[in-house]
Amino acid sequence: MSFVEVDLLRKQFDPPKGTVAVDDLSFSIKQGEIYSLLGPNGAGKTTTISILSGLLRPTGGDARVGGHSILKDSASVKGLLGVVPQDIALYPDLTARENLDFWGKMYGLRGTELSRRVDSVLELIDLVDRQKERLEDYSGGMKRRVNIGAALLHQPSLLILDEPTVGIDPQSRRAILDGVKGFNRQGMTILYTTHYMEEAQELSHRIGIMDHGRMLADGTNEELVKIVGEQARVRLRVDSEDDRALAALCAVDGVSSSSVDETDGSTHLLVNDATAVVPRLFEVAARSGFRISEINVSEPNLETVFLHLTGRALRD
Amino acid sequence: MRQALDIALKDLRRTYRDVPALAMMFAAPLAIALLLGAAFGGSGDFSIQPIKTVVANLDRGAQTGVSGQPGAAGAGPDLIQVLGDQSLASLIDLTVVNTEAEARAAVDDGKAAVAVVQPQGLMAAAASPQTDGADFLVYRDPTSSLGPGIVTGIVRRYADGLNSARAAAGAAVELGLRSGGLTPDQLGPVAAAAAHEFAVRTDSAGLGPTLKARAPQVGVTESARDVGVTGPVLAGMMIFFMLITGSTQARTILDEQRQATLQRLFTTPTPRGVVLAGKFLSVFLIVLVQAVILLVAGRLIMGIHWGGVAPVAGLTLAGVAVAAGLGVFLLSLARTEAQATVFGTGVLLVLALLGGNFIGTADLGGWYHTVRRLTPNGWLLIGWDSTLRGGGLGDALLPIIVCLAFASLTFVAGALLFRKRLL
Repeated sequence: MSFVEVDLLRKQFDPPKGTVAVDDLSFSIKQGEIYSLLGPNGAGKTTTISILSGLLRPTGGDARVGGHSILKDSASVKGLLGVVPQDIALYPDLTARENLDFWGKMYGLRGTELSRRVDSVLELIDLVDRQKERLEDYSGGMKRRVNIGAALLHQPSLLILDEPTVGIDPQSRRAILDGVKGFNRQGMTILYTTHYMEEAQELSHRIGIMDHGRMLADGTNEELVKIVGEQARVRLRVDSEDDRALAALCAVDGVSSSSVDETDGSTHLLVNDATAVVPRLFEVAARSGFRISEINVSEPNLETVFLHLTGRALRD
Repeated sequence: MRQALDIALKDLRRTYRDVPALAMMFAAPLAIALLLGAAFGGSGDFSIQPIKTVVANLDRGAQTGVSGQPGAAGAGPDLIQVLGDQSLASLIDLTVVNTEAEARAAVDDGKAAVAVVQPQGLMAAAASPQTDGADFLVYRDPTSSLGPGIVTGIVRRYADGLNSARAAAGAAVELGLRSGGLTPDQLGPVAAAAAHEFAVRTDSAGLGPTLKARAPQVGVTESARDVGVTGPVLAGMMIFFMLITGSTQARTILDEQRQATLQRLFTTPTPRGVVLAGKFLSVFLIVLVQAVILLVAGRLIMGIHWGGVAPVAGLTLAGVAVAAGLGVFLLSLARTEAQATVFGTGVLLVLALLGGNFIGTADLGGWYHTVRRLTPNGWLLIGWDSTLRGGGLGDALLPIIVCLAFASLTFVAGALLFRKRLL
């Protein structure tokens, strides 16, 4: 049974001519599942969870959480959610305990129950010893932990995490990913947004791939990879900046799609049979007068799927 | 609504951990009031450096009355007695010389700020309307204005008294001649007796040539309490800084928006209206605490008698309401924190200048009397002036009502505009 059902959700800013951030989006999340929305920046992930958490009102469609409509029964929906925003949305001049105490009250907790929950969350995020220090004196990773802890106080049925690992060190990132798995083991349903393929692959029972506000595909990791069949991803660099070099590579028999990663200038190709195609790539390069300086072949994965579906790398 | 109070208490806690904010809320108004109070003599009498004054009496030997030789006929005390009066001891440092030249030399040498020469025949002229008049000479240091101005004022008043005595003598003689009850040889003694009687009566009525030195007073009734300088100045500063705090505190809504805590609050089950109510309540609470602390500090540190409990409470709450209402309204007109800061500070400064926050509670009259009534702080200052002078709740009622109406209007308008933007 689905705990979250999103049905043709749409958000257009400044209609009728404004940007459509979420375009008739539909997906569902089963109770006890970790569901990741995977997509590049600007795909519409944050807008989607902003609508689910009641921050934005959709211009079309509806969503139901635990059977409650976000349009008709927003208050009940909010009671079921714990939202971890992308930014550290806490008060830096208050201590960790004071922050948690305040956010607990906003979820209606009081008295000994509040105190007990705050103690429990402080233990969970491993900040019991430093609970009386102001947040402004914490490291980035510690602030992230409090940011997550504030969403756990009322023991939500659905925990929404919006790119919680952006800009943090590997150790804190690992702690967050392990924490998310732990919350899920306790029965919490989780909606996780990220543009890191590895995180989505590691955490999720199911993944929705988004781009330009639309759901391109959704399913388990295995189901998604099957979309591209046996195709492998080839990442290579050439010693020429001439566009004709890329055109020559794309024309090689067995190459189904290509893109250039603007961040590092590498070329990404989807190929049907890597063993046969790679030697051809070197032949074409030699004939065309340029040289392949680096080449890397990957088995099909979500990155390959995204490249297949959009013609762009996930990082573009 | 418990959540609204939780939000307000959270803001209160954050504010009282912000040292620069505390300095602005408490140290600045208290320091300004203390400085101005000290400069103008605090809450008691007004005091300046004694004015070095030289007097030459060229009319020595003339008869004086009242404070001079008891029972003797004359138009009153001479100038040396007037300027040397005990009541002026802290204001005038008097030196008596024998000649006009000595008096002028003292000023020329910088030993005195002003020299006054009482002319020969002055007392006789005052008691004898038939004779020609006599002129005082006031010789003053051109680089000094306040001290010589005060002495000139005293001399002018003394001269007015003598002229009045001379007029009284003339009137007595004229009436005596018309009624045929006086012979020509009686005219002189009668005129002198009339002048003397005039001097005795004006002196016993407290109209003698003395000067009570105290802080500048405007529009004071006879029964009003003398409030000194510090009280009105602190009242003006308190209102100004309450408005600043109201505006600053309201801006924390934009601050929370920037820090994303406002958005996070909106994802909790606490309704948005309650979140905004909590933010508005926090503005009210923080300004209220500021006002109470300033009032108590004014009483304990500066000894200010603020007035009765009821008018003080009424004016304080009205001031807090104005600060909160205006703060919310100004915020609703701004899109960013920078806009809110520039716009808010500008409006508050203009209101303070028009309302009179920088001149204590004084009403300078004229057009200003009307203009200050166009501002809420002007009304608050009118109310505080009345309360500081011992007025009751009834005297402060009109300012309180006007301010509450202003606060309600601005608050409702601001809250509606802001709610529309956020919800």
